Amino acid sequence: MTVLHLLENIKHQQDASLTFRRSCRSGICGSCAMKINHLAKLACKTRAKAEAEKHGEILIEPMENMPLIKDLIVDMSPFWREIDRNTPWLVWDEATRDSNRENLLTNEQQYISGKVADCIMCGCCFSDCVSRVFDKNFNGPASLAKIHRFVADPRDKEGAKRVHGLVEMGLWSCTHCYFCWSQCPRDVRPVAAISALRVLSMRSLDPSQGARHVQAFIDSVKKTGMLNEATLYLRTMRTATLKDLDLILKMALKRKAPSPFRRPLPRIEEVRSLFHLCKETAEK
Amino acid sequence: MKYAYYPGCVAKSSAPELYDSTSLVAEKLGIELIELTAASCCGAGAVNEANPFLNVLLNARTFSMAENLGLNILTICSTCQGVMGQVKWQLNSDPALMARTNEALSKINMKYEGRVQIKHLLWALIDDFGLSKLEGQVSRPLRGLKVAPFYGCYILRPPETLQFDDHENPTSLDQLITVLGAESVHYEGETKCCGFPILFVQRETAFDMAATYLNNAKQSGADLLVTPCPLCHISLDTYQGKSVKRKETEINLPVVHLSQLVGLALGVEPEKLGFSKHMVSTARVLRESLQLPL
Amino acid sequence: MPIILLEVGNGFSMVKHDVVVVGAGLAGLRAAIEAKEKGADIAVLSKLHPARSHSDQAQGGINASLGEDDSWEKHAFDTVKGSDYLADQDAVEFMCKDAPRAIIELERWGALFSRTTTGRLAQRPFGGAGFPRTCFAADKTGHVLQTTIYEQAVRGEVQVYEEWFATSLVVEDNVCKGLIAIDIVTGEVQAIETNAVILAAGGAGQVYSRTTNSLSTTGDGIAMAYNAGVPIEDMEFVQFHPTSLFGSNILISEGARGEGGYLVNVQGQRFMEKYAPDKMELAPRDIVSRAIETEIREGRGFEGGYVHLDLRHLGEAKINERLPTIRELAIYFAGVDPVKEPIAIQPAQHYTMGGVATNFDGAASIKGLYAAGECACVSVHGANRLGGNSLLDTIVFGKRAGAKAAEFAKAASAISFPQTALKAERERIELMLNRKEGVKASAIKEALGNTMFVKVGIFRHKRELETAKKNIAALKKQFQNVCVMDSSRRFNTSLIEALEVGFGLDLAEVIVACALARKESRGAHSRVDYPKRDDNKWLKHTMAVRTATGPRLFYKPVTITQFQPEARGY
Repeated sequence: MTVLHLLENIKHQQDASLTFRRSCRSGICGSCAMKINHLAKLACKTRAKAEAEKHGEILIEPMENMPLIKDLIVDMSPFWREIDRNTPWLVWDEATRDSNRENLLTNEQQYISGKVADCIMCGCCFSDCVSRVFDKNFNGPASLAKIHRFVADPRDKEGAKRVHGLVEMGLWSCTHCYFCWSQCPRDVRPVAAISALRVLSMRSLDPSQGARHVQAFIDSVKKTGMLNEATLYLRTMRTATLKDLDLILKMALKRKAPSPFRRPLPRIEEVRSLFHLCKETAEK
Repeated sequence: MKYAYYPGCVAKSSAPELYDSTSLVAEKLGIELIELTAASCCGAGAVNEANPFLNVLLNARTFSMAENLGLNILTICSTCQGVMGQVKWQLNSDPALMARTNEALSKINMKYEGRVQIKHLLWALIDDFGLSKLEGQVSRPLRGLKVAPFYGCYILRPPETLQFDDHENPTSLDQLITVLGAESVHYEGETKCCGFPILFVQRETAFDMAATYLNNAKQSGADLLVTPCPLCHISLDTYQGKSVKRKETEINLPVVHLSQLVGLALGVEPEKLGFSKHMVSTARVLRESLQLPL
Repeated sequence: MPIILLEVGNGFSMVKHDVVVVGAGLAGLRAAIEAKEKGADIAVLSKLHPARSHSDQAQGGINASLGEDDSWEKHAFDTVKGSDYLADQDAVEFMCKDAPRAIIELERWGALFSRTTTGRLAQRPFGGAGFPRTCFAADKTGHVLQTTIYEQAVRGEVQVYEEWFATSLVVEDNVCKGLIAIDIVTGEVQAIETNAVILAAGGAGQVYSRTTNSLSTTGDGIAMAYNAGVPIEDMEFVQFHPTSLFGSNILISEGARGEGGYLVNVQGQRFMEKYAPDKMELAPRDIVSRAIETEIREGRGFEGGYVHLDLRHLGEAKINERLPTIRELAIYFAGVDPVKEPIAIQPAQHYTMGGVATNFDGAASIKGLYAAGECACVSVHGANRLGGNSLLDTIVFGKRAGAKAAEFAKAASAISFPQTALKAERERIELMLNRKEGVKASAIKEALGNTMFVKVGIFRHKRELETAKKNIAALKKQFQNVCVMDSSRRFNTSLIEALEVGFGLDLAEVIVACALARKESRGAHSRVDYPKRDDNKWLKHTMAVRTATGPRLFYKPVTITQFQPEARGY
């Protein structure tokens, strides 16, 4: 007995006006995404008894981050608009239009794309995304993950170029709340795709604040083995440091302002060797 | 109880009160902490976005150090816990990655065998020490104190990499609060995000997150908020003044580290727990709720 | 793209296009992409968001003779034999010849097919095929293809009227004038004037209580055509898929047997040996379904009415690589991990071989009307469809219908949509909405589904078919008094569900009439009282046309080119 069964029962036996979307009842079409006990899930895949036992009740609400139409029906336009902000299709080579052979591609080469392509566009990740609540410019987990699906596909002519527009769309706005990972009914792990896109963005000399932050981290760990909070902050914020002068002063008075001068950890050579080894090894 | 102690970077830098209060709690409870002084930063999720393999190597090295001591790792930072948990899970589920990792580690004469467990102080207290035993050690029960738990992200999700608390319905912090004699207060946002990962990148968004959840906690009647993560503490305490300013509201909700709350209940002198280092003063709450002369 | 409603006077507004496709599954979107490329002003109407279409649920694979030792002729032969010689062989030849091109095109567009170690498209054996020619994407082929085609439709800027429910086809003087549809969100009943309509709204599984089909697969397209006086073909041929999860009837792909799974009865026997000693579990679906049903009826099934699908010997690695979806489905919806335990399965309705009668341009009998995919009957599947041929059918004939419809629309003269049709439809719907008391649609649906599965199911007999006919007539009468139980205008899914049940009743009446008339057993149509195939009398297609007193049946010969009908054994 799933939550969808319950909803259908209520609709057909008690109140015909209860409205919700549903179609496949087997967790693949994505229609029945809704909040069940505060977290976005597919109703057809959510076991009613388990929910009741765990939470003491079954609270059913429409998804977040999308305007309500009626009952459990939300207008998914914000979700689809974000998907369409990018180029959500494989940019294939027109020259191969009349080819009678497939592109050669191994299962290993398409593994990453395949994982992200499991996405059924249900909206659960978008609903529960904390950044999206507060930043309406944030492209969102499903859309960014879909970009990764194409970037990782050797057949895509755009390839890594797709990363170029992502900073403006909030590539660095993801706050790693990991709800998109925990709530995805298909185990797509959009946050991992976002991290992978950030890696690519770093490689294409992303000049944004988010990239500077990551670069400062790396440099700090290489130099001292630890995170040097002071230099990390200064390099990320630059002149924006002025905004926090009052805070920095307060912290200094309380003797907790981090010092920019840090000695390297013992055995720092080991750490630096690992940095060096990473450059040599081909990474996934 | 003995652990390979991994305090993380912030506890040794801008959150010295966390480091100090942890030492005091460990002392009170007879927990021996062997600090891994040569262990590098866990990467905090940022190193992973420059070089994923490096992220694995740095943490695998830390794991190896603990294994050499024959001890499990104790963390006092949710972010360290989360990052290390993810790396461990990656290595466990990908034999090829494990092989590559050990090949690299061998160049610095180290090896990761996959034995070490990584536990946050919160988990160690519940699992290894035992809550009833802890209750027996409480000499200053925090009666009358309403504490809002802030779980945040890294100690709950992704669930498969942590496998301690139920991410949908976590109870670990609540249980601890109760055992210390205080009342746990529920509010919307306790399992969401403090915004720290984007604090220096998307400042306004981070402020809005923090302010919203702090406000919810306050509205639910909390006297103070407790967090198991010093990065959350930076966002929720250090930057509280700035974040609530955006919402044009006053919150003044003190935020304490887990170890400070435990230390308080174990009878440690409050001055030693470093409350004075906070931006949002705990003085009034401690004075009024616990009749502490602060 | 914003929807533009044109004011045409008398408070009457409507939507105008050259070509309108009903249904946004594989056939519908493929048709739309093609028509758009050919320059038509096209729109797709779908009662669901395209990503939710039933095509998304297909699992096993799509056929093409790509292998060096394979040929389109062999594929055609397997298809014709699989169809129990009822398929029109010219259409089958066309489809099989076009298959390699169609699949390569999908791959080029980015479909993530499973591969061989050398990077070529992998192919696996499927039921009734003499050669492993089923290309696949693990066991989520439908999802992969639907996603890919939708992406390309977005690329082609195909306009979609999302959550618009088509209620009727408007035909005047044997010319298609357009459609009437409900904008589900607002509840407004709108007219759509168009030169060409392509019906691609899928099959009619929900007419049966036990079906693998989604709750939305309610036969809308076929019923609309039938109600507009268009002949529908071969409706008695309903495919029952052998392996659906016991209880929920969620599909467990044929791929599970393609990868080597066994069917086992309560005695632990691989019983297919008795029914298809050569092909065993990979005999065509009608044969396997009948085998399972026989085992159950004769007491060799497990209590409750199921047999076991055993995949344990495949090993975890293979199951995770090739059948991850069905592993998850079994764990999630049946509480069983196929790596460790056999899965309880039973047959369920799965595919509608019949549909809107079309030629292999996708053209139906009325000018401007086209159909493609499961909605249509070309016929390429005849009396029984081979696994992997349905996905192929959708993209081959979807493309063709799209091209032909665009061509037609370009050359067609201006039409004027009859306002009376809109007025009448609005009144009909208003009546349904405002009825305060009456019979619940869900009750009618349940009764219909049970009658159909038990009496017009895997094994049929005159007696039971006659009873079914009476039951359906009674339910149709009840439906005249159907009460929606919700009079709201905005997003009224109870209204939609009631209209869907109406479509189902219309089709059920036809299915049972055709089944009664066909006094032989062929393919999926199995008459216990006429157990043999009778080519002398019955090598012909059943055509049904609506009259005031019920369906009028007439017959159409089968087109035979290369393959003379033979005995069909596996």
